[in-house]
Amino acid sequence: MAYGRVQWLKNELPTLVSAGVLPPESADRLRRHYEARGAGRGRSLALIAFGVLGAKLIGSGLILLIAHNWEALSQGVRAGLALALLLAAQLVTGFAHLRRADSHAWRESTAAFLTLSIGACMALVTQTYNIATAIDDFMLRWLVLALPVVYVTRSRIAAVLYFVGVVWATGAGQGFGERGVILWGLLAAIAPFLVALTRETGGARGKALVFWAAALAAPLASLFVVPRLLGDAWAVFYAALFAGMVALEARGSSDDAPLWQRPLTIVGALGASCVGLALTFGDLWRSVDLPASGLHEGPWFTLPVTWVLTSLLLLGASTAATRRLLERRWGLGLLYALPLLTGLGYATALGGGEGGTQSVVANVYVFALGLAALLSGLARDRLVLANGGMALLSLLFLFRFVDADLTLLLRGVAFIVIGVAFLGMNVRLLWTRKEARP
Amino acid sequence: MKHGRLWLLAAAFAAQLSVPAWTIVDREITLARGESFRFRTTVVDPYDAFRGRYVRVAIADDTVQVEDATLFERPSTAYAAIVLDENGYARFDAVTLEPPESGPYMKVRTSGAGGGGVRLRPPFDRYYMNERLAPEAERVYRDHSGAGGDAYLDVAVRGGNAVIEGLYIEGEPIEAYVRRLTDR
Repeated sequence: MAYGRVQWLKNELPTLVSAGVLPPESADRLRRHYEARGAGRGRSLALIAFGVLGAKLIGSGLILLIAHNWEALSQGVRAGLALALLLAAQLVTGFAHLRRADSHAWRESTAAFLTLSIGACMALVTQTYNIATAIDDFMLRWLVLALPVVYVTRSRIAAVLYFVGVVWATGAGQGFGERGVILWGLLAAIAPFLVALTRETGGARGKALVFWAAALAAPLASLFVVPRLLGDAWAVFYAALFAGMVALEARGSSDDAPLWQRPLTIVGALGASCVGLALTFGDLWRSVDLPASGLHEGPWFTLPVTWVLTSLLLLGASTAATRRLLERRWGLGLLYALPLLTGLGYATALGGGEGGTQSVVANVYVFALGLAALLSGLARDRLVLANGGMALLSLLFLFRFVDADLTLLLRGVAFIVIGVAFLGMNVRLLWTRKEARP
Repeated sequence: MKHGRLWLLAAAFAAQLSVPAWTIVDREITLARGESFRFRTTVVDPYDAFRGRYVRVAIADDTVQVEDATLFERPSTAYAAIVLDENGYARFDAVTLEPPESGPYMKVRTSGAGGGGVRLRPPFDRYYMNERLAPEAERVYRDHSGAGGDAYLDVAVRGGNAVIEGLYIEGEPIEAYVRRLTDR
């Protein structure tokens, strides 16, 4: 149970006892039960934190000691030390895996140490022999060698480091140049771990950490690859990606889960809103063209893999949209419909034209999406959802006001109206909650 | 299941060790048994001369004339034959997409073709140095490289692999040269 809920329950116990709902001995047992769990959790977190910190300090100290005499060492000795560092990391990771399998602290700290040692060893060898290696090639080798650490140790920190590495490699290597398709391989390679993680019980914080990293890494890394590969069709991919993220999490987690445990939903909904808002600008639909060259420069499978991936995401999102709209869940249905609408808009804009129709449809769509989120939030007493819908509507109005070249007075009035609407909605929601309390 | 994981762990450890270990062995064999060549160096963009603690080095004659430059329009891996000039310095003589059957050669990357010539990128572009000596080394390297310069790289070459043995200024290792200057 979440820490906040435990605190709430502990605060409620005296009231429940005095009202005769709960016998005093049961209240004591409940208190002791949650205090013991809370203490264990605190110890475990502290152990992980100090374990990782200790490994980092020892590693840094050793590096400083060696670095002091680095220049005086021969190439062979330097290379040997680099290998020794990696071997030591493997030994402690192996020990943790075989002898301390139940300890989160051992697992996380040794896996993090090994992941970083792989990169450090390769960097030292590269430096020792003055080897010219492009940063993306270097990172790619590091990621490939570090991925098994994630699978074998099931370490959350190693998985997070992997996602950080994917973004770093893609960004530093300018999306791997002509080999942008590598990104899909890197993300697909860790997908089975994510699927297995959803099936594990407990450890909500660790799970959330990994999924936050995944939710942020996929769109961020794609920024360096997708515009080059897909040209003007980037919006189709991003619409499908964000809608797919929301759909994935909707299958596995309940609506009651706290927001920090739903990273795919949050990043997906925010991303889809941004894509929707971007599509409302007429300029985006002008001179839309097929991908210029990116898809044809890479290996032969770049084009089919990219299109199959986009089509699958498109198909999945469209099916989910139809289902949700039939269930009258308008907000989710509209969000899942974004990839289909974007794809249709792109296909119809290919022939040329000013993109006026597509832009109008996008405006209507974003308005409907914002309104559906707002009404759904109000009906289900969800402040975040209602405010999200209101924010989307406000941004749409503000963008159109900017486009329309209105006077400062009118813009000022618009800002005030939007502000009043925000305040009014929140006051109403809070008032409804107050009234609902006994 | 547990045994499966152990095997995976062992395989992962072996792969993690084998990549740097093979790099080391490959370079050590090249250094020990490879033929040594001396390449003249050139100045690179001074604003990009240092990244961290290394001198960015480039071979002076990095372009080779070919009969059909269209073969090298897209960047690719190629093999550059090495010959010695009248002063004993090495230079690239020809470039092919397959390793030559005889004579020393280096595995390179082509980086564009034009005017009948193909530009080659050797498998080294940096020379790591002590951070304290780096600023002075940059200045010295720039002064002694380019046309008529006396900066050169000794490179061990074997079976297409190439490993820098040292960067020299006026026949002296750059580390010793710079240290002598800074100690004055």
